[in-house]
Amino acid sequence: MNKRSRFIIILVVLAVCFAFLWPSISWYARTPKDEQSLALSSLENIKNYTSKKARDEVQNLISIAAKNPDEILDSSYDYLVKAAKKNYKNLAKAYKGMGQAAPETPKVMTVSAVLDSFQGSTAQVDLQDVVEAKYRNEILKAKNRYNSSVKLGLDLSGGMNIIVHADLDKALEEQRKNGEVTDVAQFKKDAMAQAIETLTSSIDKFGLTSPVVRQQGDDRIYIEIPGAADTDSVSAIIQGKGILNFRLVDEQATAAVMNYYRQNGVVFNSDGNLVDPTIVPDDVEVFGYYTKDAYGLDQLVNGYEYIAVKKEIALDGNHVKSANVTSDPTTNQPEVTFDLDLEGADIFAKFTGEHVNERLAIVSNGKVKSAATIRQAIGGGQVQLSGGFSVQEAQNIQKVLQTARLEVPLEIESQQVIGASLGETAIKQGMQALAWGLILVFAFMIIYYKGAGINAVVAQILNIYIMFSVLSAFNLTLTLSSVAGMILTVGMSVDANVIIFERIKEELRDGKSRAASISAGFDNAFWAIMDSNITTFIAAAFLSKLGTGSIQGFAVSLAIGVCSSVFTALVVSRLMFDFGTDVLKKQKISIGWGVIK
Amino acid sequence: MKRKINFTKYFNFAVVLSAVVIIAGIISVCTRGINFGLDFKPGLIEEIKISDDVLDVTYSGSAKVTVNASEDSLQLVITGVGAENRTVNINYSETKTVSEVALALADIDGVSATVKQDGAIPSDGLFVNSSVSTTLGENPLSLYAVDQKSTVDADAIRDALKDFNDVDVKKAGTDSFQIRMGADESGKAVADKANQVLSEKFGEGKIAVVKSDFIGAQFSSSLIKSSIVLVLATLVLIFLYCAIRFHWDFALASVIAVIHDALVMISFISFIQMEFSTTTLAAILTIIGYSINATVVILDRVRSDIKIVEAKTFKEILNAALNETLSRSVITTVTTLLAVLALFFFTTGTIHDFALALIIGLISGCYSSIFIAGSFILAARRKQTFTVASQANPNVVQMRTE
Repeated sequence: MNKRSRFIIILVVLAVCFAFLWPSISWYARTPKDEQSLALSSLENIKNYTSKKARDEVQNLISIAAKNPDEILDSSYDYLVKAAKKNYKNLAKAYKGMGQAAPETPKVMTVSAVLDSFQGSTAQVDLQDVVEAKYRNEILKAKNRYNSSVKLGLDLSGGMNIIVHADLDKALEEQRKNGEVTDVAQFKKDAMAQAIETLTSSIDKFGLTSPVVRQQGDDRIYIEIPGAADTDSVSAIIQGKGILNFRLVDEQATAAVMNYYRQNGVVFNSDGNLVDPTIVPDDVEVFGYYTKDAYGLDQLVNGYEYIAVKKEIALDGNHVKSANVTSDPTTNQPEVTFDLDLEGADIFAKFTGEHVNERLAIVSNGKVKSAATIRQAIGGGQVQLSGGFSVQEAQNIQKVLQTARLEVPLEIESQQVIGASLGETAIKQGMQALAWGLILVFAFMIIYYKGAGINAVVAQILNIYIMFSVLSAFNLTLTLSSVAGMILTVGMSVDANVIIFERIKEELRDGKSRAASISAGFDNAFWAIMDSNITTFIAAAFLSKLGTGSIQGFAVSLAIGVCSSVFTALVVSRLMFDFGTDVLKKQKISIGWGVIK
Repeated sequence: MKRKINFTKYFNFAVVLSAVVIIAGIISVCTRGINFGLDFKPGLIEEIKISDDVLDVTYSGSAKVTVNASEDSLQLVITGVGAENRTVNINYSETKTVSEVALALADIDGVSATVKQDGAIPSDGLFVNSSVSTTLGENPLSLYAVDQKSTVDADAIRDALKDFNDVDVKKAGTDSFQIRMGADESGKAVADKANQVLSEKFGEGKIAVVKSDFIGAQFSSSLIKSSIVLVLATLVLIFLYCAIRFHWDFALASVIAVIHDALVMISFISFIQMEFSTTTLAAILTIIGYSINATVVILDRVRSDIKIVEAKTFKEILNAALNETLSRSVITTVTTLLAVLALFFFTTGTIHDFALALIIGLISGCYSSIFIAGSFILAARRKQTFTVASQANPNVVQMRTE
């Protein structure tokens, strides 16, 4: 390979690395803290925030227009001016289509011209949508940046991680009391999925900063909550059971809540409490009405449906024996049928008798999953929910009902809480150690190898750069132990340079010229470097696959470091030597003391 | 050529020395045991600071206000509905006392701050209890300052906790204490009880928890199992690679050198009763990687010297190879040591221990790659002689690598 193509390869590698590193740089250095906090909150919070923001913005624009219709909007409203121009264009097209002369498009986009561009009955909603889309895009963009950047581990950011053990055998035993379990493996899988879903939805409800809930092994759940969280409430969530019950809908209060929503654009604050608790009576609770979207995630019905239900529980979910999806014999509409046990049947018959033509809600883990009108008193313990839902929705409701009985006992196996201030100290220490480690190693290399030492230093700097960008590219988590891994890699990867330099020195002692010594030195060192690094890589790759926590972070950065150090030592450092020989026409080589050439 | 060292002369001495160290280590492990860290022994570790609750902050409003307390400033991030998004920085270089901070806080809409105890902000700033949420709400969030006049020492804490199982208290850093205790059932219950006892003894609001770890019995036993499998499997893989690239006796020599280093490190860990955690395990595994690296470089040299060096016995070849690679072995160890020393001096806690274990491992790795791997390979090839000396032709090497 000639020099030019090697140089191009190096440039390409550096450019690719920069592209990988960019999201991390822009997230950590260029995104303000408050924007970060917003971007990290749940999608529902983001939606609440943007719609509220858009509503305020529209009011603000209207009031500006009322004061001074000819005011020119400043550049922060450019997006709106653009939307307005597009509206006028569409309008002109519409007129043309009807064969009429279009009204003139205003020359100067004043605030009133912008607002006037939104026409028709949905004008205000359309305007609001444009504003909301702008805010939403901004936040989602920040969220994407976060998703593709290096994450800080809990030991650096502070936070909590919990490993929960799910006692599936006990759950199985419980289930067997109610009837046969045919497929044990499937049951366990379902039970686990159910436990994770319950945990995820109840942790999400807290609006905590991007929590992670994932399955670990067969029967463990790993939960990570960055930042600070209340230990007591998190433990309570985990120990708490999935709760399902039937409650009566308070129509009056529901109407009041929806009215409040239409006026203010928001019902709950970020803690999940009502912004204004006085809008509903004391015996009523407000929940969102959720269905599953195409991705299987819970979504508010129509994006904003809230339902107020009585606090008093009409029927507890554990009376549900089984649930099935059937279809109505005449209309072929899907229905959900569920059976109650004897006690449940009595309670239900009595209750439905008293509340005919009122709505009954199924409340599961703080979410309303269904709200159906009671047509008549339901006796005999067999209940049918029908009307208006798709097969998919029916299946979701059936699943919710079926899991009411299923309780997987969860037990906290390990819980780690790291104060945010400790994390900051750790970052500081890690950076200090990294900086000093580098300075010491660099100083040593330059003093010992003189001119050639500079090659090694450049190679090392590139090495660190490549390591960070690979971490960023794979969205890996940076922990204190991975910083330690990097520092160690710096020390070790100098090794490749040392092997080469020592070989070159030997060749020089044999009386060879600069070019010949460099060439022979690199060739002779090649297999020693490859063998030693491949063995180290085997160890590191293995550890990163099988290890847990701190070992993993350490091993990953070691493995990346081994690869990049081979590249920098064999390609980058070689190119620097060759550049000196061919372009600068150097005859001598500066490679340490006592080598006279 | 520089002066030659007759390495093989010291082989016997080195083997005896290593054997003594390792046997002493095994005895130490048997008699004194290994101080297993939390990862391997179920229990609870808490890090607490003796401090004063100096400021209580509450918030009423619909936005979300979170507090970040750092060494030199207090940061409030305000987001969400009902407020302008912003980040308020209260820098201690401007607000030097608790009451000044309270005034600055009160400037923010909806936030109110109650001074519990006025005074200058200590050099490491205010901090919060790690087990509570830092999102402000109606319940006051307490900000703590380290009590510099505190006379509480590890013994006093140990005494307060004497009713708990296996309590161990030690000072961690300048003003915090690490408490470790056995916890069979729920870690949280034990932690709550301990914190209650401590507050009773030292006063309400005097104890701030900065870190707490709990590991259950089941989890730690599965970790031990997987760690052992991990180490063994790594060794087997390395052996296989070396056996393919070199010869089985070379491969065995490198694995023996690696096992030697692991044993030396474990001995050291037992000698000084250092905590053995997953991080320590990572250190041992690193040294396995490092030492194999060093050994392979030497073996590679031996292999190429067999072809080009004029020698009658294997011993001479080995000596030549060791001399040729000596400066590389020393320099690599020195550079890595420099990096690890930086870790050792700038960090605290587990990474500090990690660095210490690495220092021992590095020295042992350098030594074993020369002496231990060397002794084994010499013993295995003692009989090998070279009746016809190869031509000293440096081009042979080049042909091989091209």
